Amino acid sequence: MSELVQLLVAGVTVGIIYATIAVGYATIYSATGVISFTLGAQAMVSGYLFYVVLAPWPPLPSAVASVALGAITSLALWIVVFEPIFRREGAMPTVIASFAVSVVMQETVRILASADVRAAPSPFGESILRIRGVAITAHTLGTIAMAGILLAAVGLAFRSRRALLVKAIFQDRMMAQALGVKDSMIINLIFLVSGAATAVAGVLLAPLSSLTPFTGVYIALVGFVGATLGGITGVAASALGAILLGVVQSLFAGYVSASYTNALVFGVLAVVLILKPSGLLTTHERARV
Amino acid sequence: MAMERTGTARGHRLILVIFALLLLLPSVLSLGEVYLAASIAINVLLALSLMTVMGYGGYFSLGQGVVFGIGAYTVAILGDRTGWDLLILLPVAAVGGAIAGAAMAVTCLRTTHLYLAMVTLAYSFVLGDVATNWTSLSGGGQGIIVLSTLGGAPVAGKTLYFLALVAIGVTLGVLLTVRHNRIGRAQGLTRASEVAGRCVGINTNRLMVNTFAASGVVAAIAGGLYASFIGLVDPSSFDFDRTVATLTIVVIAGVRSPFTVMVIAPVLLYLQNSSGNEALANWIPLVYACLVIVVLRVAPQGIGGIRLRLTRQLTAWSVRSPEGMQGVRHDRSPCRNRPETKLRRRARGA
Repeated sequence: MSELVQLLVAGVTVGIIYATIAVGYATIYSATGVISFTLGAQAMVSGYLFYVVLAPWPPLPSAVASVALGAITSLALWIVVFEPIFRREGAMPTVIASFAVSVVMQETVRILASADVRAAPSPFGESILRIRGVAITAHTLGTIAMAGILLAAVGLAFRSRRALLVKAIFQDRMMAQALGVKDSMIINLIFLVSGAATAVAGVLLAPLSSLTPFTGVYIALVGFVGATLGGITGVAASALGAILLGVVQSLFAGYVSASYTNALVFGVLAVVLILKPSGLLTTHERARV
Repeated sequence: MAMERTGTARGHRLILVIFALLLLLPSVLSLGEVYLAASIAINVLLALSLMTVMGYGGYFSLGQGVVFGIGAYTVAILGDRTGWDLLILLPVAAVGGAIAGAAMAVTCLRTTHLYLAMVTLAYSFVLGDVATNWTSLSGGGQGIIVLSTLGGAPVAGKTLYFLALVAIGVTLGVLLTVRHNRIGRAQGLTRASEVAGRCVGINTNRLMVNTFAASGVVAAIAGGLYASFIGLVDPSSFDFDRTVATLTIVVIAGVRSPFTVMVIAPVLLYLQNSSGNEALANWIPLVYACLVIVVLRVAPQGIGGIRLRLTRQLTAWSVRSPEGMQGVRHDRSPCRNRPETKLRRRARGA
């Protein structure tokens, strides 16, 4: 019993971090229809900022700085790289460009900071809470609190009336413009938010996994699988899907096989995309013609 | 029309001359250089397979690594168990690649665009995991040692170079022939709009499965050749990195510019592989990724697209003088020169 709970706790901790990235995907997708694979690399860069570059600083200012830089990077990438390609060529070349940008970030970090695995001590300390044989680390509690607050904030923002503007832009950008929606400003804002969420995820994930320049690709893919599992068109659905993925991954690693977890994650992705492309938790499919 | 035919014939003669020169290449190169040439030729073959599915088919597939890996493992496992000749193993690998490609397409029939890319990518991760863990079949993370023979003798780098060159020639011939026949036109329409394709009676599903199967044949042969070339097949054959590297080459050259790939790919691969210069090798991935971004921003059709645009511009200028008409090459498709309107861009799915 306590083993099950332990695995569930681990799964939720990882899952809620995946969820912050999944929300990044969902917000960007729901406004533009683009999947930005740079998110994983952005998370990796934020991890390096927090644990390597700004390591001498106390945790709070360093966290604020990493998240702010993450948000600004995200916006700058959209304005400088993605937006011109997206405007002229549409979504697919933008996705290819996002792969390229992710390689650029990975290689830049590798050249500047070497490919060595870096230690990432948790900013919440190393203390462990034991409840009936279940060990809960301070990092777990901190992660769930931070990511939970972030997810709740984004979720609430997307339930507001104003969030309907995002849907309007997605469905018919020209019509939205004609009705006076400031589309480019809203999309800029969305990139800021997703960049900040991704940075938080990067900082929280590093103590649980390893911090190397090459983690970006995996983070990007896992976040995407989580988002698709729930349904990438909805913010709440994608977050729930990502948490579900974390839990399933943890249970699978604990009870079945730890070496087949990749196969599980991507097998799940393939099955979901083939059988129900709109995601498990969404009720209707949206067609774009 | 007569003009056009002479132009094409001249082009074809030029290709034949180039291939003849490429066949003579190993006799002037050192042993190490021949190996490099073989490795480049194998990667060009893989790039052509991606071009088949992405450029001409219009499907954004990240599954080239899957088929490549299946080709490599087919040659490795079958060669290990049976000791067959490489000339038997390669066709078997090709059949395996066709089946794998077709199977991949069949599962992806309902998914579109980005989701197709993700499903194919997912397959490469699943197979990589299986190859790592199913030790009894694949040798696990250590991989399988490949000792290919051809006519009883161990395969040399030179032989692999020739085999790859022949495969490139055949692939190129097929691509150029298909481009302007029924299948090519069906692909062109389906690429622009799948609905439109279905409306005029094209079986778009079958077209997709066939395109993936054809691309699978080429990629699996590349994988099989790579297995004999490198001598050791391990789960990294399925790596996403290989797919990304191939994608880089194809995007920089232009997705529908096979000749530009033939020129660009060797340059890019040569710089990447000639690791004589340590400092340069360190920066290559960064530079290539930046190059992809620049190409996508400045010339989305790749370098081949620039070449095509320049040729058109030149012919347009030469048309103005009467004798300039001599050099005009008519576009085979009447629709191709129409300006892109906003409506058409949206129909393209942008």
